[in-house]
Amino acid sequence: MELILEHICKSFDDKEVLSDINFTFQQGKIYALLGRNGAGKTTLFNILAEEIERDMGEAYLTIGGERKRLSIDDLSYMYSEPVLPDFLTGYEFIKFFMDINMDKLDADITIDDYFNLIDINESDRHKLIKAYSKGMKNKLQMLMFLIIRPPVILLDEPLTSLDVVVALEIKRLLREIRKDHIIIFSTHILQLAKDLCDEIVVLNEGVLSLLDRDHLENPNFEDEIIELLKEKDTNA
Amino acid sequence: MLKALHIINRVKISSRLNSLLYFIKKLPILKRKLRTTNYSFLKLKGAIGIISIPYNIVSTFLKGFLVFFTTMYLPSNFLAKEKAAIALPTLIFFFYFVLRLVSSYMLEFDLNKFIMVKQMRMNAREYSLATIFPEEILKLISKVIIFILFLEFGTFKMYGITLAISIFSFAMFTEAIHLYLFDKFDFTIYKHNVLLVILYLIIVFVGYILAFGSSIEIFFMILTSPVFFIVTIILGIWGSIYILKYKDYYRVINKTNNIEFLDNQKELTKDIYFNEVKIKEKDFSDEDLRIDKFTKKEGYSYLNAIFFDRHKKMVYKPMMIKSIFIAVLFIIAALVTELFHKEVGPIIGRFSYESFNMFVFLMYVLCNSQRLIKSMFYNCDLSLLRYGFYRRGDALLRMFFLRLLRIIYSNLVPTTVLVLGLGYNILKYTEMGFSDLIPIVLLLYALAMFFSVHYIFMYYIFQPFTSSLEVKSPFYSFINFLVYFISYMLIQVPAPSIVFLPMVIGFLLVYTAIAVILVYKKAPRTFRIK
Repeated sequence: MELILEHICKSFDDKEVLSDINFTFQQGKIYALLGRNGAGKTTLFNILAEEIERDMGEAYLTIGGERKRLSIDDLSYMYSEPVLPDFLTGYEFIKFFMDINMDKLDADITIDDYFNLIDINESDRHKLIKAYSKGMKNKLQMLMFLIIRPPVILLDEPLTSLDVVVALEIKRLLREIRKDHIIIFSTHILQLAKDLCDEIVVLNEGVLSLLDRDHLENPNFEDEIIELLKEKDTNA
Repeated sequence: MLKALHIINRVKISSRLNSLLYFIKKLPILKRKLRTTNYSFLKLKGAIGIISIPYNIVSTFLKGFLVFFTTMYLPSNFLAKEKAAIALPTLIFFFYFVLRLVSSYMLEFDLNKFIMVKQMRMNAREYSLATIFPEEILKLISKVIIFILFLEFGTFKMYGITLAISIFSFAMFTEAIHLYLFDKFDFTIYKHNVLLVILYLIIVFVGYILAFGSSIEIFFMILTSPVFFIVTIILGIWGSIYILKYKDYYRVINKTNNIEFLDNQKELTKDIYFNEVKIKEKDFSDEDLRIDKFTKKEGYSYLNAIFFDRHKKMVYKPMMIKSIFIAVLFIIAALVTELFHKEVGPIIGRFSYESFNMFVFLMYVLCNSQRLIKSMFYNCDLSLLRYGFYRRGDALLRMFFLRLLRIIYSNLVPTTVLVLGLGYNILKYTEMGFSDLIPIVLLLYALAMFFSVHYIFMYYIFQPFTSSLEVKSPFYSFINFLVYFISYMLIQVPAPSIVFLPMVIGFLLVYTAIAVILVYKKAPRTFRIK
């Protein structure tokens, strides 16, 4: 399974945010989409999730050699600011979510199994989402893609504002499910990218480029990335 | 579609019941009893889900009735009683047909659509159909009832039913037209907010002008003509078929409810409550920001002096405006009395002596510091309360009294102008002597003290704002509303005999004293960022 981006471009007014995005993401890997604030990471995700329109280009998904256009049903998008119904409990929300997506469910797993999976305890399940911390809301968002297991999972800055424990739990979960998915994870935190992901893709100056894996082991890795980002920045 | 309808209803009813329980859990007494109750009565909610049907019928009816009654029925029957037969059909035409033309449920931004379709992945077409048809049909039923009860025009007895059907059909036609425009030209009226507001205003304005200012019977004739009925039915059938056959509802919901718009919306409404107290950098000149201005002051009084100096616009400017306004009114009254109408002065004198209950509302308007309180929170306490040194009991109390003094000062000036003006009229134009004046003067000052203390007292005891800038304590809003309501209602009742005044004054002074003592005792615990 592969996610192929071809010539994706997007400008806002006269500011070109994505100039020519070409990339192929592979199944079984967690990709970090690394870029500075305002580099266009969220814009790229918003385009893939059809939240905004692209100016040009296309995204394809190949499954078993068959290539088709990426559709919204193929992906789950975890927003950096969770949008959830405040006055439902976490349990109710997931229950309704499962009712709606009955056809995509794994019949053996119960709703409580799912909550155990993401470590939300019995009493928290029945609290209003309104009372949830951001970490818990993020876990609920994760649960949604754990339940329907779409091929592509986009996570927009998922761990940036989470506490250590939740961040570790989410990392563990992502590692567990990665073999069946293409997971792309945007962040502006270098250490996080290095720590969790199999590959690092840098978004700078509107272009995506893959970092060489060998570089990750290089002791001067951090300096190199900083140079890379700064260099382009000063050229601009 | 039935399954979708069922789920939508259950989500709605769960949300409503949860909100209700959430509210009940905040009430005193019940709060403790329900502390352990959680929201897990899902099974029960499923059963209660069935009551969502009568609930929806009743609430749709009430909403529809309220709109009809306040915007159409009441105005046409009271304002234009003799012309009600013309006014009412005109208003019905403008509100139910013309206004409907510029609104579309399908294209409207709605968080529920975002959550149900984009987050929970409900089929967009099923969602759209399962909301539009039942809702419009409920509206149809409630209009039939309303019209049968209230419509007195029409050519035959059950005319109300045909009119309700026309309105329903026209609504379906309108929705279809909006869908069509969106499909073909990507046009949605909700992208043009300014245009929308202007259109709304024009339609309402023209509607009322024609209803009350003219004797045109054309709208009555249109609404009661069989041709109109048949035309709307045909349009409605076309509209319904178009809606049923329309395929790309996902695109409609996706484009009209996207995450960027939602984020912008959140950003806009995030601290909207505090919009009026936001400080702008350009409001201050270098002169205003000079550091040597308050060098004589230290610590908290330094901080407080700066705060009030930077809030001149909010405190002293209104104070001056109010004082000058009152003074000018009294000067004009005096001139009018001396030069033209001798009875004006005595009327003011007698009025202020006999209708002193009016002063409560007058002083409410004059001494309201709600805005300043908001500003204290947003521009000062929100950030400083995070620090230990600011939260210490003695520091809080010191700030409280420093602030209170400034508020009292800003209220005393206009109150004194008012006292002088009223005193002048009472002494000069009535038989009342100086000793009769004393209770009135005391009342005015006691009210000024009361309103000065009340708001800041409430603020320090309830501290109703959260760090995410919401008003959390329902009591704060409720008590403030109650104070407004009582002050306002007092205008309506006749003033009790003047012998009651000492009791009223006594109450106000005791309240003020208790408030100050309570702040002293409790504020170090209650004045926190929530």
